[in-house]
Amino acid sequence: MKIENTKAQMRKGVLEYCILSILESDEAYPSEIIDKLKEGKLIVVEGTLYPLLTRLKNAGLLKYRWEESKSGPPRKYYSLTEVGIEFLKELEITWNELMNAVNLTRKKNTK
Amino acid sequence: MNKTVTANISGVVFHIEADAYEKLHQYLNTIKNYFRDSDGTDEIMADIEARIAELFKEKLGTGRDVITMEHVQQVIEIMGEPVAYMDEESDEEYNSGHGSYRNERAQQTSFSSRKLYRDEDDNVLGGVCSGLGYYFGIERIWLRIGFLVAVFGFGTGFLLYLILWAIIPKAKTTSEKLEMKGEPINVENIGNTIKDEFNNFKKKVDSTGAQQYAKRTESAVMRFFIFLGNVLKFFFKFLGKVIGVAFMMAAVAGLVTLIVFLFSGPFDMTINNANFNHFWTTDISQMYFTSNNMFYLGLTGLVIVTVIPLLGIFYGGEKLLFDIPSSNRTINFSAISLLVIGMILISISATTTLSDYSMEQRKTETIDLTELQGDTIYLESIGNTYSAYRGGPEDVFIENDEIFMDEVEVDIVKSKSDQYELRMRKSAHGRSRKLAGLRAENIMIDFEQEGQYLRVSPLLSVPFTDRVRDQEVKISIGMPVGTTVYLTESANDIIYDIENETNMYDARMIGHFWKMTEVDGLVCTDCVKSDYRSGRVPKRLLHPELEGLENLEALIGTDKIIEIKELKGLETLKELEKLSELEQLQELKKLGEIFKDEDLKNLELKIKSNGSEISINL
Repeated sequence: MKIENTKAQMRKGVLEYCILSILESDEAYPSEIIDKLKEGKLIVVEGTLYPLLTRLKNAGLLKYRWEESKSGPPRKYYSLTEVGIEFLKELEITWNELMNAVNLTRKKNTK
Repeated sequence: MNKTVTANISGVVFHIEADAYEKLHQYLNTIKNYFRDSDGTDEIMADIEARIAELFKEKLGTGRDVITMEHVQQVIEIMGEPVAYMDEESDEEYNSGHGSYRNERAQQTSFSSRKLYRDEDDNVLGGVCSGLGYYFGIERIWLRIGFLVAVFGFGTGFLLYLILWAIIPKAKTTSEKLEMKGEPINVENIGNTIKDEFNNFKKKVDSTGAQQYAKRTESAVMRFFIFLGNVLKFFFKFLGKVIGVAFMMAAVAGLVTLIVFLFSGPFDMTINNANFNHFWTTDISQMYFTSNNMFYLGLTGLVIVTVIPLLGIFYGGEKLLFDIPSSNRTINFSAISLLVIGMILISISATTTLSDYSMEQRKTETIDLTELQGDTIYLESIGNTYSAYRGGPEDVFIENDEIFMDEVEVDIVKSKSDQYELRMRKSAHGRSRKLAGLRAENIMIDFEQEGQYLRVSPLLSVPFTDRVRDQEVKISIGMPVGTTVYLTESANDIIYDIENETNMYDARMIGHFWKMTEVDGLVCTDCVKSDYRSGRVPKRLLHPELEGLENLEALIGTDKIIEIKELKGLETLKELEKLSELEQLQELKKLGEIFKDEDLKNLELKIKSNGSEISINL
């Protein structure tokens, strides 16, 4: 059992939740999402984000629109769909439950 | 200076240095390969390319026009190696059993340490050498040869191999194979390895397809025969390898022999105090070859003609041992060409040299041996010099710029006059008769006459420049009738096929006095019966009473059964014995006794001698 392995799995679980959270307030294009994720040290390299976004979009949780960019090719601005908003709500509940569970467990053990 | 290519990335045109382009292209391909099976590959790739284009645009904002390797590397750093994609994107299969190496991968972007496995994809036996080769970064052929050599060191190689075979694990999984080869474990390499394996598998399926079909459809009997076939196949494969080893050993032995030969010379021709240089550069070439160049030409040809087939045998053995299937046409062609060249060199050298043997010329002279005194002479060889060389088998050697040869033959014949005389015939070979004649005249041979002693050298000598060209000297010593010669011990070195009364061999004639007679030629005057071979004893020793008799008649009753004139030797009596009805008739005296037998009362032997007649009544 390697620590890196466990970490990666935990990260993977919350990554989708985080992306949806970032898009909850406002639409964003990948670079912006990456910057925010990098702040939280959730991802290190950008390449990993694109497959994830595509998967969420294909699952109907995200939609995007094109916007011309002055530096380079047009950008995709992602936002949540109705399904995505519902999905996020579910995840928030699950997340809070999980947090409570983890905190509870940790407190018990430290007593 | 660097070549630049133009690339359209996500609708934006960039100038990229060629090597940078290559790197980027490879990078994108790797990623694409990885997402091959997931949904929306094109979209992901489009997104990634768009981002890359954006990043390039940012970088070029500083005023540079061309994307360099450095830019590409920075972008790859930002976007992440394909390895990283897997980290985040990985599915259950990656989390189940491969977590450990995944972590190693994270630390080892450039993987350099290797692990020791057996490589059964490229094996002769257990793939030990192949695996060791990867581990130590050595060409596996050298390891194989090393083990093979060690097998002949009391089998240590064999034992060591078995042990290694047993303890080194086989590289089974893809990642193990990559670890073995020391290649970084990333998507691209795993992809390549899997592709290779798939191809191998496909080949196997193709080749065993028939077998599998048979397995499905045929009976157990069929399966048994297939099994038997496989056992036989293995056996022949093994046999092939054994033969291969034998070939290689034979070739090595041949090469070693050749080298020993080249550096020491043929053993039976080594000469006192001769070293390598002396032998090869001086003796052989100056004794036999027309010129030194011809000698080296021939030697070079000989070495080529010997080495090429040996190498061929070695190569063939190697092919058998390591299952190398096809032969290299270039190598074959060069080998055959070299062989032909070698043969040409040999034939040039040989014909040039041999043509100098083509003609023979003889020179004959007769010398009166006036200084010999008395009726009895003693024949000796001038033995001191020669004896020093005897004991070695050599019969040709060089000394003081002269070539000495053991080619002297001495015969003893009846003199044509009433004096001792010596007839000498010198002969030699050459390109022309004239040259052969010159060589014959150049032959030097020592003989001396002193009182009762005649001494002849067993060796002739010729000048260096004449080479060895079949020079020989035949000496005939003419003896007047009534004179006697004593053959001393040393004469054994020189006499050859001397005719005598009973055709006694030369060596048996030594140590006896031989008298020249008119009728019988040389007759031994001091030999006793035991000196002759059985059946060859002269009649004068067996039947002294018959000495001088010339006619013989044998009568039984009044019937004359034989009449022989000029009775000579024992042979005639033997004829008589055959014609006689008596079983054994060996001596005349015994004859008398036998004839007393009652049944043969009237037998009578009549011997006539020069008119007078001796009758023996029995």
